[in-house]
Amino acid sequence: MQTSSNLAKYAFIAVAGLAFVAGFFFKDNKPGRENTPAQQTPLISLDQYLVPIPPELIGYQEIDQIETELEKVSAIAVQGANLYLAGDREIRIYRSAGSEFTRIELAQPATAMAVSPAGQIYAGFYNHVQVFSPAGKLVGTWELIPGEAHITSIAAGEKDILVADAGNRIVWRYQLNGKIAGRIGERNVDAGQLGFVIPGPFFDIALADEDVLWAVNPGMLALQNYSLDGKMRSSWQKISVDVDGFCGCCNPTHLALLPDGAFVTAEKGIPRVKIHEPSGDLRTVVAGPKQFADGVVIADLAINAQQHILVLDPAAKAVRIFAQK
Amino acid sequence: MNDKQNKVKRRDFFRDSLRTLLALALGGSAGIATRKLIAKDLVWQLDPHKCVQCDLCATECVLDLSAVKCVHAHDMCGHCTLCGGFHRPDAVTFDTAAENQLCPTGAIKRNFIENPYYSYTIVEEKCIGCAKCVKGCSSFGNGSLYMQVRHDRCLNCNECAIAIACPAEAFQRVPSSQPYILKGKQAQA
Repeated sequence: MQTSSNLAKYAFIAVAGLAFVAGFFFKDNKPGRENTPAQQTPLISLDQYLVPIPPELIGYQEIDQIETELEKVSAIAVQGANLYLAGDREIRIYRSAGSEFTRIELAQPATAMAVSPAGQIYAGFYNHVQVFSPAGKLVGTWELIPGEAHITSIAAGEKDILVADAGNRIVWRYQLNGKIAGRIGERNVDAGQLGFVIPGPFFDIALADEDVLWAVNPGMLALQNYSLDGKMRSSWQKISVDVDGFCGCCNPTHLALLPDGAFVTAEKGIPRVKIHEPSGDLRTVVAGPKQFADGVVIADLAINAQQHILVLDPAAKAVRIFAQK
Repeated sequence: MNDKQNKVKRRDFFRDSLRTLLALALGGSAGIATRKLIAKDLVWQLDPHKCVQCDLCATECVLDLSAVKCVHAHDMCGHCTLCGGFHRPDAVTFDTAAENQLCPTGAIKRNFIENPYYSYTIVEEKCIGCAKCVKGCSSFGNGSLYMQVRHDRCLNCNECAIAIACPAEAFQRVPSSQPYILKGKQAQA
């Protein structure tokens, strides 16, 4: 009889406890978000600023995609017939487009990557660079960059490795042994160099040949040409919301060079990929905003041996390949 | 005989049922009361990482002038001459002329620092919470401009009208001891 009474008491406490928990987490349908699903409310867009791109200006078409199935893609590079892709905690080496790949495991996601003509792979990780042999073996970790470094791009030549650092707003010139040999693009008002204006983690560079560097100055909407001793040689900018210019304050976000000296650029805000003549004039459009997901920021650009434009699209999680029409 | 003993008596059944109902009522009421008590120490805030700059903060607030304002993480700002949050994308010149500004009320003050840098400061009295500058900064810049419920204005309504309308479900209750969801170095402090 006593046991039965205790049992009833415990049951009462248990039920009351459950009810307490249910009451505490009771969803009283306030503030009623269920009635306003996101997809039913139109969001404002930058469409009002989108100037339709005349079809005759679009000189490329998408011919293929390499699906990566990676959560976050960060960089691509081409050397010879190989395509290198950095994303999540790995670097993939595709021996031919879309085929099987070999994988280099990384301790952390790479923020930038480049491959030298000799096939050495250089991966940037915010404040340092790691070097991998063509076979994917780690062969070196270079000295740390001081300050609040944020490596966003690497350009690898035969004698020099250039590392773009958005945090320190400078390009570091490394020797092949990993020692820092110089700084490019430092602010020097007396010499007429205002330095790189970099509002965000978008600061891309490309080597035109062994001793000529092109760097994006995103805050100035400019492309600037430097000798490797750090002096600016020339620059061009075209500020415009129209298709032949760059708009916003962080554009272009990415840069690649065609063999004839033309610039392939990617932009954010109004996502588009274009080719500009060496003079800066618009040559053609590779892909317009309608070919990208809303608000996407293209992760990187590369050019392969067939002069196809490779666009690393983080929304599609794919390398999208564009060929001339 | 056993069957007769095991049979639940009507009186027992009613007693157990009543007991269960009483337990449910007591426990449930205590739970809801506790939740309401805790909620008194909570205030509304919007998560800037979820915000889609939809413009509804300006129009849905019960106040004539919304309690949601643009705030600026100065340490994140690029201080650019051409600011995606200050200038219209189709601005003709990159100055402070009204026709070149995104803000419909001129609530962003631009000051020269040194070539080519400018500072941008929000004049809260003029800000209507339309988030046009935040949209521009997020799309073209680095997102240093963002929206926050200002608690010197917010009435902390039980049912926040903006939270109901918010398409991104960016509004949430946060402890009144930490009433802001900040960006930049302030967020790390």
